[in-house]
Amino acid sequence: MTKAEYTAAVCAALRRLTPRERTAVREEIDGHIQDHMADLLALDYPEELAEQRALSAMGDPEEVGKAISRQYSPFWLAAGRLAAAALVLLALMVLTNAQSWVGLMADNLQARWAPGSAVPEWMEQVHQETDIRLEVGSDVLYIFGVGTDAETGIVTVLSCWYDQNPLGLVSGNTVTFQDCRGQVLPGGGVGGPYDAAADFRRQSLSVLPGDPYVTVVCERYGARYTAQVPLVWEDGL
Amino acid sequence: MKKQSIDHAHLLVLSLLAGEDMYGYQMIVELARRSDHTFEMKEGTLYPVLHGLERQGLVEAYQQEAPTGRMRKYYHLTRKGGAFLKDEAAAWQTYAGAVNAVLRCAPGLL
Repeated sequence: MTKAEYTAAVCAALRRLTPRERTAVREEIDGHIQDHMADLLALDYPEELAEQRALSAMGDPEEVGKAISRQYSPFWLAAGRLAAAALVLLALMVLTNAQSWVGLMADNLQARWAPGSAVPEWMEQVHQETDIRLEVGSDVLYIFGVGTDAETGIVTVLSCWYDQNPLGLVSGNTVTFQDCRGQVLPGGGVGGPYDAAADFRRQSLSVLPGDPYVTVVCERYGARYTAQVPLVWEDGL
Repeated sequence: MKKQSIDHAHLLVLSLLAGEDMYGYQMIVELARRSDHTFEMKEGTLYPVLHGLERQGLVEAYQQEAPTGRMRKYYHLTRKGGAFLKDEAAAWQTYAGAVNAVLRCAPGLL
């Protein structure tokens, strides 16, 4: 058996010790053997014999390791491992949440600055980009595109909701539209990309061709928020 | 004299450290010298004793560089260890005195 094999055998029996404690024990046992060998070499022992004598004097490595291990409480090693596992779990949770927060913020900023990039297929249906923003509590209704069809009187309104706080979430908001005479407009709408940070909608409204505007109305918590959406008709109406 | 195995290793280690701080191999050499090589001890069995004493707070350890540049782990007797040694030494003296008293009464032994 060599010195390295001896210390490895001792460390293999150190089941209750942490890796750091095992390293410390290995260094201490290794140092002891080196000290003993140095004394024997000073007495002109050949190196190989000095190593064998020093190792023989140490005793059975497994017994030594087990006896050292018994001095350490298994509770603290288990507690340490549990704490390490909890830390890893916590880090993963933080990381996962961080990814989630980054994703929410990216969606919010996209809705705020470049909503058309989220719904490129809708943008092909409108010919008028608008920048109408209606603050409803902490949320903002952003009307970013309008399309008109002079033959049918169909108006397409593209909008999205986002929170004023880039990390904020949008509430469930409903809106209605009125024509320029104050009549509530029938019409359907479809939802687009949605998550808690941004909510895209496309409304199709039926108005009289040539109407100068429609009014968007949102009622929330007893308050009424309105904004006019100008209409541009392609044939000059 | 026939060599004896050590049953009171804790007491002997603490008494060695009462004089000065020592590292493991130094304790083995010093123990052999002071006992005139009476005690037989596998050198590796010193370390369970030392680690047990350390975990009980009776000794504390620190690193110090050896002349060869290698770091050595030295052990130091704590205040708690000193008090423990005093109590244990007194108990041992009582025990040894009682044994001697009995031996003195045995005809033809002493």
